Amino acid sequence: MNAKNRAGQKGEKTACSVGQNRQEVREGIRRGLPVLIGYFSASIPFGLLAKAGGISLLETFLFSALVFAGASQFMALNLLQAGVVAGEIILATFLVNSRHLVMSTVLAARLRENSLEKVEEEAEKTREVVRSGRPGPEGPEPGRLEPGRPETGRLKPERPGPGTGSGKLLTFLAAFGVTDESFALAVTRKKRLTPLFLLALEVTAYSGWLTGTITGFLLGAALPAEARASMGIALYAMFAAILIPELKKSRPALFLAVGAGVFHTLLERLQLFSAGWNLILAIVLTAIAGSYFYGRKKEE
Amino acid sequence: MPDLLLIAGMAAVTYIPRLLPFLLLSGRTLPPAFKRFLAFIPYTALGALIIPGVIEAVPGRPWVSLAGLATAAVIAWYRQGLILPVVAAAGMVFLLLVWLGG
Repeated sequence: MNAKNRAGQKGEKTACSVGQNRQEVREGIRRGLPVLIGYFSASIPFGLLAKAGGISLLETFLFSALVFAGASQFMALNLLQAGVVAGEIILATFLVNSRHLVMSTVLAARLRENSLEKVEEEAEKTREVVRSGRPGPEGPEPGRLEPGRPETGRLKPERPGPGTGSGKLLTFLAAFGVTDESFALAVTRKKRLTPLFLLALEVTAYSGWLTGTITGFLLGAALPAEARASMGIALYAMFAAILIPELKKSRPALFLAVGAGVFHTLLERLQLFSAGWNLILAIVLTAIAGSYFYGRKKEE
Repeated sequence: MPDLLLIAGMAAVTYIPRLLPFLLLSGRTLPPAFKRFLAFIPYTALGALIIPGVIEAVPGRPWVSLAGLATAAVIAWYRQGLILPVVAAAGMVFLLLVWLGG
């Protein structure tokens, strides 16, 4: 990726936040591209099934455009087919999607995180790198589209607060785009999370979801069965590709990921909670266990 | 036929949980323990998003799903970027399904 070089050279002179904003948007779009592909593939079956279920193109589009939550959209199709009334479908949707409460909390915290000290630290790292003229100690970080060091140095002085362009409107829009996938991509960003970056990522993902839905509705039936069946892997492949570079770098990451997966499997077997909450419980409780375990280890 | 009311209802109950935390959390400082907890979230989230769901990624074909996932993992191990693993995994699954038939 040569983006970092370009960004590093350009940034110096661009007077403050316009250049930064553009940079954040650009990085958000880049980060969102794999989700766009994944969502495009994942939403083709939705359009296809909706059409098969006798739903109009407009309504199919509105499902994806207004709800924008995969699992619950597929569920709604099933329930409609089974003749379940709207009220119950809405309730079930709430149960499935209330998990985003937790994801939004994490993202809001990350946006809010007044990481002055972190930014300061990274800026220092940048200066060191510049002085010694070689990349940082870990080298370029694979899987992440922005290694972040060149820019953070110049981000520091103008940005003490919680991010450029953080208007209320931006927050309202960014909240709409919170999904499992945008969440996963946003929290794995090592640089500070900004509303613009998040929104750009989400809009990119959203466009994949919408175009895939329409494509599926119009053309899905023409696809060979194997092609349709192979689309389900896309998002998992993306998750794996985000995770692998982290696993290479740290052993705790491996334990945490596998631990959460095992715990999630267990919760699904037990069937005590809805699917959405199984996921959240696995994520949150494993992270709590991890921060307890590794936190204490550090103190010793 | 679903009516627009259903879609509007689903949209509302989906959006509200997404939005509330952004409104409630603004302007608060976070305790360090919470920040440490946040730092672990990416790993646990990815683990739980992949396992066990990936088994069902290709309905009724767990081994094909795992082969697709492995393809993505191997590529991601050697190269950076997310797009190639995604495309290659889908391609691998497609080829396996064609090869295995129906």
